Amino acid sequence: MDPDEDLLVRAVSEPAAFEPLVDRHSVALHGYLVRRAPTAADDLLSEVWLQAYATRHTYDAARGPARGWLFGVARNVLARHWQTVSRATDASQAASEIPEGDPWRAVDQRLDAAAMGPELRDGLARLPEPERELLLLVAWEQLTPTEAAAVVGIPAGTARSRLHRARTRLRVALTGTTLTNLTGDFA
Amino acid sequence: MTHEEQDTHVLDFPGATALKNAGRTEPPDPAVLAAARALLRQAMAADTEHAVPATPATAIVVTPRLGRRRLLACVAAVAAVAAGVAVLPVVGVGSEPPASVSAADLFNSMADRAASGTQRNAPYWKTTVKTWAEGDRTHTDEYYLSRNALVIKTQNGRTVTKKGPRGGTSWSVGNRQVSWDNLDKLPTRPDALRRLLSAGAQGASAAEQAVRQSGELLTDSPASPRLRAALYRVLADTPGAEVTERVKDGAGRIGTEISWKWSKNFAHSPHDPNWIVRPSDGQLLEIYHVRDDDADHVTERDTYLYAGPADSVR
Repeated sequence: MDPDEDLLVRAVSEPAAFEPLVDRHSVALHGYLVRRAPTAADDLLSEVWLQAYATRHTYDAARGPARGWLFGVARNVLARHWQTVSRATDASQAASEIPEGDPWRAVDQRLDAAAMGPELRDGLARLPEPERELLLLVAWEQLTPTEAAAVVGIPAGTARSRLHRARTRLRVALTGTTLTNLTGDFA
Repeated sequence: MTHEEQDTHVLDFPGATALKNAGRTEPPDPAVLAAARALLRQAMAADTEHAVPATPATAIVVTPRLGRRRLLACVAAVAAVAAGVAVLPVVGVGSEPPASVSAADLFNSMADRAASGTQRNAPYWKTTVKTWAEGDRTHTDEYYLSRNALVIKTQNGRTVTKKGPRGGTSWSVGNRQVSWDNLDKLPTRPDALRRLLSAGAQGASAAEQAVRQSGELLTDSPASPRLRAALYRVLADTPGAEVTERVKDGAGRIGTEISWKWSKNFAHSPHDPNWIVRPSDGQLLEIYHVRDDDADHVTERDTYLYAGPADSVR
C-alpha cells in the first residue's frame, strides 16, 4: 500500500497518523495555492489541512492516489476562497478586467512575471478552463494524469483525453498547425 | 507508462519547459507550516480524549526587554550601544518544558537558514535603525560598529564617533567578554554554547542571561553563520517562548513575533521586550516594548532596516 494511503486510512481511527502527511505534502500544496492565490496561500494552507483532516474518512483509495485526493481538497478550498473573493469584489469593476475571483488571474500574472511569450499566454488563456486546469496540474504540480483526474473528480481516461486536447490546441496555437490534427472527440 | 513518460507525453508542445519553469515557487515560510501544524493538532486534540500538545495557531511570540536607551545605560561595551537591545525575558526554567513546539520549530528553522549563509568579513557591522519612542519623534540612524569604535550617522546629518572600551569592542558571553576576533572561537555546539552563555548564573537567571546575550550577538555582532545557527538552537531549547505570526513591524514588513514569558523580573531585563523576526532568513526586524500594565500600549520601537557587514562608513 502506498505510504500516504496507509497514513490516510489509519488516520480514521488513529488521528496522530495524519500528521506526517503535513510534513510530506505541505510544500507541494503551498506551491499549488501560491500559484493560484498568492496573497491568501499561507492562510489557505491551514484550511486545506483542517479540511483534509476533517474529511479523511471520505478518502477512497479505489478512486485514486492519496496525493491526488489531497490536491482535490486544496482545490475545493481554493474554490470557496474564490467564491468569497468574488462576492467581495466591487461590482463596479470594469468588465475588461479579469475579476479578482477568477482563477486565471493569478496564473496569468505569474506567466506575465515569468516573461512568458504572448503566444503561449494567449494559447493558455484560450484553452477551456477544465483543460487548462488539468494541464497546469501536470506541469506545475507534477501530478500524473491519473492523479490530476482524482483532483478534479473525473475518470482518468477523460483526463487523458482533455490533456491530449489541450496539448493539441497549444500546438495549433503556437505553430500554426491546423485543427485537422485533432481526432475523435477532440475536434 | 511511467509518470515521467506521461508527463513528457502531455507536455510535448512548444514552450512547455517555459511553462513548467513559470510555476516555480519559494518554499513556504516555516511559520506558515508551524501554524498549519498547530491548528491541525488542535483539531486532533479535540478528537481525542488525551490532548495532543497544541499550540495556539495565532500565537508565537518572543519578548525582549531592554530598550535602546536602557541598554546604552547598562552595557559598557560599544557593541551594546549599537545593538540597542536584544534582551529576551524568560521564565520558569527547570519547571517548564522546552519552548513550545512551534517556537522550537521556528528557531530551528531559522538556525537552518542561518547556517546556510555565507561568511563575509568586513571592518564594520552596520545597523540602520528606525527608532520611535512615546513622546518623541521618529528618527532613523546608522550605526557602524568596528573593532575599536562606534560611528553613528544621525538622520540630521551629524556623525558621532565613540571610542570603544579598552581592549576593543566586545560582547558579553556568560560572565566574560568576548572580542570581535574571538567570536569565531566560540563553540558552535548548542549545549557547549549554552553552558558558556549561562556561566555565572543559576536557574531562571541563567536562561534569561543566555537568551539576552544570544539576542545581542544575533543583532549586533558579526557572528558567523555557524555561530548564528548555534545561537538559534540555544533559543530553540529555552523554555517560555511564544510565537505570534504575521505581525507587522514599524516599516510595514510582515514577520513573526516572539516573546518569552519570564516568571520574574531580572535586573538586566526590567521590561518584557517583543521581537519581530523574519523566519525566511532569520533576520531580526524589530524590537518593541510595552507598558508593564498594558500589553497593548507600545512605548518604544526599534525597527532594524538593515543589519550586516559594511566595508566603510558612508
